Amino acid sequence: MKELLLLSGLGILSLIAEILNVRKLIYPLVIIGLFLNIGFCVSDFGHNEAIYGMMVLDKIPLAFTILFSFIAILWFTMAKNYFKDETNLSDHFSLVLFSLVGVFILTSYTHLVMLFLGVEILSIPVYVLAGSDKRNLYSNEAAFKYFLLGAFASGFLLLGITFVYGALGSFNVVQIASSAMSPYGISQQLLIVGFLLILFAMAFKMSAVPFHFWAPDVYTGAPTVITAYMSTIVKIGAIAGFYRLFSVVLSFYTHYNFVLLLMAVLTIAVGNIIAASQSNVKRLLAYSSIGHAGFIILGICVLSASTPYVIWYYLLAYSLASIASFWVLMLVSKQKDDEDISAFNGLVKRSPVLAGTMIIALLSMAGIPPLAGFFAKYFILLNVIEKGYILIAIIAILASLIGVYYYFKLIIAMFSGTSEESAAIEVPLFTKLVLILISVILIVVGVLPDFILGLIFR
Amino acid sequence: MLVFLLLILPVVFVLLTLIFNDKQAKNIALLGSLATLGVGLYAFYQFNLNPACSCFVYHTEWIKALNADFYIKIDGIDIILVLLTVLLVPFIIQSTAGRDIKNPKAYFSLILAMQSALLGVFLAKDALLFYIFWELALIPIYLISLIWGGEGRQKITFKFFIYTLFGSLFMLLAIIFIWIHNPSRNFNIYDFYKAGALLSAKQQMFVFIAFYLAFAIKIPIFPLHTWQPDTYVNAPTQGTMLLSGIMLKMGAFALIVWLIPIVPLGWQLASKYVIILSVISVVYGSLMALTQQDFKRMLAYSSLGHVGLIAAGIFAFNLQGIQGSLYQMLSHGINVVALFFVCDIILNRMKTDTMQKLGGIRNVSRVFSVLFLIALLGSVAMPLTNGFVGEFLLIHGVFQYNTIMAVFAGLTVILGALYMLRAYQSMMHGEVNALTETFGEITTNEKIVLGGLAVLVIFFGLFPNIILHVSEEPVKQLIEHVQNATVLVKR
Repeated sequence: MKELLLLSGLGILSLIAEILNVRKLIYPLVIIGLFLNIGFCVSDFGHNEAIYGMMVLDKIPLAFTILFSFIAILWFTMAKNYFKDETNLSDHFSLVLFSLVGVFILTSYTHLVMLFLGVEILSIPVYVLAGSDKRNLYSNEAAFKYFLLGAFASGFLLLGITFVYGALGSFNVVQIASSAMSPYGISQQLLIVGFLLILFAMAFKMSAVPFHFWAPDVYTGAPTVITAYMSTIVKIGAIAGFYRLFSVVLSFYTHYNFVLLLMAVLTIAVGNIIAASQSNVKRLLAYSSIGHAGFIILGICVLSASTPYVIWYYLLAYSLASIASFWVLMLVSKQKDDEDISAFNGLVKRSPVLAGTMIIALLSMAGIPPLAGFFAKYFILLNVIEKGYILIAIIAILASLIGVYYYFKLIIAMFSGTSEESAAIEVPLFTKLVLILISVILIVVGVLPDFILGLIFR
Repeated sequence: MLVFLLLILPVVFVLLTLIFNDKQAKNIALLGSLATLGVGLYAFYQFNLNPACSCFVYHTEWIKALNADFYIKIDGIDIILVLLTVLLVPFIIQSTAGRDIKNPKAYFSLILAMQSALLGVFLAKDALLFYIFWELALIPIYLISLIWGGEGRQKITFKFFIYTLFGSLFMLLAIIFIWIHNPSRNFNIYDFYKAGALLSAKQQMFVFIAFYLAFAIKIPIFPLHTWQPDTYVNAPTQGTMLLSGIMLKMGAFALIVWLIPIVPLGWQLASKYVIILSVISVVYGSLMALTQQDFKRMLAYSSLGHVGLIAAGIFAFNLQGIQGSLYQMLSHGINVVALFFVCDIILNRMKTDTMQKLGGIRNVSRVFSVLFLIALLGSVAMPLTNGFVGEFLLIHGVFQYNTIMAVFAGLTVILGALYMLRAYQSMMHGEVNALTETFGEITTNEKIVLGGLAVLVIFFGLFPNIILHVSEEPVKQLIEHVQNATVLVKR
């Protein structure tokens, strides 16, 4: 409960800050608040606090909350300068904080209504944020597209929840499991359709193929900071929410296994294949994030005892690398207002820190050992092969090879491209330090996966 | 602890190289490689006295969730590869003396990082650790070729990278597959030997193919070799030396230790075909070398032929074949580094390595022509040079497997002599022309490097036993293991 109050309180506080004219304090306050949130989560471990039958704070939600709070700290650090230069700081901060409340609910709900609320609380601020670059036509398009399609998906979600309730007479995830056990008096058709509708809605939020069409446009149109937010924290929320329900559903209904596997394989393949043909870096990263979502869904398909650890680890590795790469992209593209791969030409000479961070982030996403991304993929492949899906493992491997292709296009540009822009990119010292920190974490998480997982899931 | 020192010493010197300035970079790197050489030679000496010494093992827990250990160990087989690595890297670093290298700090630290990763590949006795070192070795060489390479390097190095990564991902798949079927659920190589033998013939075949892809690309074996000539020609000299001298031995070494003993049945079923591919590699590489106009490209193809023979000897999997391949890995590394250095000397002075444009260098530079000749004779397997011992054993090994194969494999010696001597003749003999007039005597540095390598060529030609007797016992054990595993299934 503390976490929920804290996050909402922070959001309200940063709204009030504007009125009280203490804008300078917002950033430190938010950071302190998020660290406090991590502290709360750590102290809550083992309590399994239940909140009015709506949410249960067991090990997994807490771990996900620590993860997204940490990523949020990095994100706020990234966004601080952008919003100071461009637009209003406090309303953006409060919007993001409110959507964090949504993410928190999604990680911990046990009641299907909370699932719906979580999705909505998460999404509505993001619709606004996607359009926050008011004068940019693409940003407006992104917001509009995201909102329309997102509302549609929410409709599906609600319909699905209703169907499930109609069949079982319960909103509770745990009860769903127990009543699904008894074969009598349940309308199986209603239940199957209901879960399928929920699955579609969540697939939309996770940008899984074939519900991914919004993602590239929205990611490209939205300001880069918001794209970074959407591709990391929003994704963590959507996947955590999806996992919470479907880890229960999948263990009772094997009908969805095939659908989900197909979806995962398509997501991996389509995301990576289309990313390979992109020349706009933001779009490339958007498609690659679709590919990563596919990997995580694949990890959920092959449900086992280790699945929460595996997807948590994957999300950590992916989010760190993703936020680092969007951060570098933001700084690089600011110089010339160019998001093409050619903007990265000769970056090694222009700014070694940015280039180094970007290389480590890209290598990690490509899954080159011993970086975090390698073990993330490794754990998932391990589960996949253990279930005997060798062919799917091969497809996933080939797709990640395509991933290497486009990530290396960028790396090659950084090393050898010639750029008419030879001026060094000015990066504040603090930003440099944070970027170096992210690189170090990516290496440490990769070399000592045991240590990190042991730290969180004691 | 000795083994850990061997692995960590180059890394320490990577950091030192990065700390000091550009001028000192080469000297520090050289110092680092010499220190590693010292440790390596000491280890070799100790190993002869007491192979069971606990200083050759370093074993500690790494990832508990997967039962992956940080397990490195020196044994009778990998010590030869370790010796090769520590011997060659000082020469490779010293070969840059007098050459203009931009950004030397990065260059030398990458070479040392590469050395550490290579040593890791040879020493690792844990499959996951092995895989990680295997991939780690790829990054420095990729960057070396990408940044310091020649014209069109982006595409060529990229092809090389994707190619090798493609192979290694399949290796990863195979490793996971065995791990799942491993009753003790760890990556320990000796448990892998037991686990692999439990797999059915079909499963073993799958694992064999997956591993084979990774290793055959690295070696390379026909038809997976298409990345090789361009990469060799395009990479900077030191990159080519690392690639051809040491890196491709990763593949051959892995065939001996990580492939055949793990899936003996897979090997038994596939050996016919893979030997044929290796022999095709030999013939194809040698014939291609015959038709080349440029010296460096010719060396690239000749290397393809030589390693094809090594692979054929390994797949025959008898005592002579394995012993020969191990010895030939060492010899080929020395010879090919010497020859690529010769090529570098010529290119540096003449700006071309097209053999017809050159001629009469012998009249201009006596020392150079003698040292070149020694390296060349080693490469064409002249008796009393190192190449002879290895190739003789290899052909002997293949002969026991199949006579016809051995005949074709033996072509490497004949064809090798043909193209090598032809190259020597057209470059060194004949009339001095306007271009070669300016060649001049080679510098002292070049004399030291090439002379040192020439000494090694003759030394290992005269005293093969110091190497062969070290590996004999472990090789016999491996063969016995494979024979037992295949016999059991037959019954």
